[in-house]
Amino acid sequence: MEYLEKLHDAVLNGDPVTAVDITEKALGERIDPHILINEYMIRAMDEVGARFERFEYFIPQLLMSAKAMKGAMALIRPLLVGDGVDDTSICAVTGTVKGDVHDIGKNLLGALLEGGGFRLVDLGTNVSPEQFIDAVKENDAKLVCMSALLTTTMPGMKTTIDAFKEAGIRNDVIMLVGGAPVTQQFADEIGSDGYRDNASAGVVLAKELLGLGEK
Amino acid sequence: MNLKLISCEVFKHEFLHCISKTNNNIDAKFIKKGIHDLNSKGMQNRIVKSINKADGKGFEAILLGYGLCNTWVYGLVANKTPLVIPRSHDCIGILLGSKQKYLDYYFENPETYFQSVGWMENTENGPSIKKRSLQKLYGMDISQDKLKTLYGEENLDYLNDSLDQTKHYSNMAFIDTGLDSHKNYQKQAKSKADNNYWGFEVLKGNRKLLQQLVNGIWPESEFLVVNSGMMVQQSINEDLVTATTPISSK
Repeated sequence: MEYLEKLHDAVLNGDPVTAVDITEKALGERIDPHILINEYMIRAMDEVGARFERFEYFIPQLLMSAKAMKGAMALIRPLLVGDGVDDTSICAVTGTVKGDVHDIGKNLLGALLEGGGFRLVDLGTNVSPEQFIDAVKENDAKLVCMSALLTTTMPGMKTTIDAFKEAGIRNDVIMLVGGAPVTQQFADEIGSDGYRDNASAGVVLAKELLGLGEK
Repeated sequence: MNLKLISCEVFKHEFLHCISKTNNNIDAKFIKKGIHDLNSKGMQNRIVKSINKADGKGFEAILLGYGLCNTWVYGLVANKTPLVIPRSHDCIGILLGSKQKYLDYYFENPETYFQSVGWMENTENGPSIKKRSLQKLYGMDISQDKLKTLYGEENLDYLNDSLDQTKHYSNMAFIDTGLDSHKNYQKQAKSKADNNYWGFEVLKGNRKLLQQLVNGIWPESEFLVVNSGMMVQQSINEDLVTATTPISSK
């Protein structure tokens, strides 16, 4: 099974064609899909995130790795459900807050969350507090990541957190914030669980707060 | 009053007009708009360099022609000379003359791309900013040819779509402060909107805040005056910024 290392390399090097080929071959040989995800792809995406944080990887490289992982996951995910094996990965809900239509940072975070093994529900842009709440309830999500690019729209993060409190589900989820105008002070004052200034560090923080991975 | 103005060049036309109408002596310095492409600290460093040059040189205040763009202003400390900053999210609120007017328009039209004469006129960043820009740092300044060579033609659409910062816009608003140049930027803006199949509208700007700044009329609701020894801090309330004692001297 040495060839499986090529799956790791294909994700790390952003090679979607090879990632899909190897995944097809491995699934054809009835290799447990969880092994493909946990031992090869997540390991590769963790390394992608680390390289990105060290400025050794650029955003296009990160996007290509995400595409490779996504291609492989498209083959794997139906099997996780179809075989009656529950998809037990933790659900993360992402969205850019109400009034804001910018999404590059949020999409990078989403790619890295998926790469880190989360089940992603991306609500897109201009997301109201009610939409965040509904998505959390419908998907039993444990993580909410809100993004804003503008100083005008970032108060929407506080409004959303307050809406979670009112709905009585604030303590059921970890709520993280990020985006160009956001600071740690702002994150603290609005009652979020945390902030990071880049997508990769955001995933590390999410895992820490959820008790996953390294502390 | 003798006042130093340090401002983003996006306001140059408007400020020169306002300076011609004030009784105060204004020594103006305009800084490249491109410093917005640096990270927050990089942007702050460039502005602080100009503040330090003016500090203690007999000015009664240093006026800052900036919004909260890029979080640059947080942590800024006034040394010998007080600093005056408009309480505005960014330059759009300043050009419209009111942050509330900006918020009202923006939340009605979130897919709007704003333009003004100053925005359209100042597009050249210069090499020292380009090589330190966030675009460069994150590899978002790569040419189409290089993207094709590195990632193949089959991935170009995917990458372009992922990196396109304008894909969610459907409308352009040109802020007219009554000072368009001979280059007729309003017309250029309209044609840019047409090329993108966006709607287009002209918003009436208002030079009130800029005129008040150079006139030395700084109501608390519109401006933050940071007295000597105080530091600018983010506020989650409508006042947007407050002045506080720096942690090191608490």
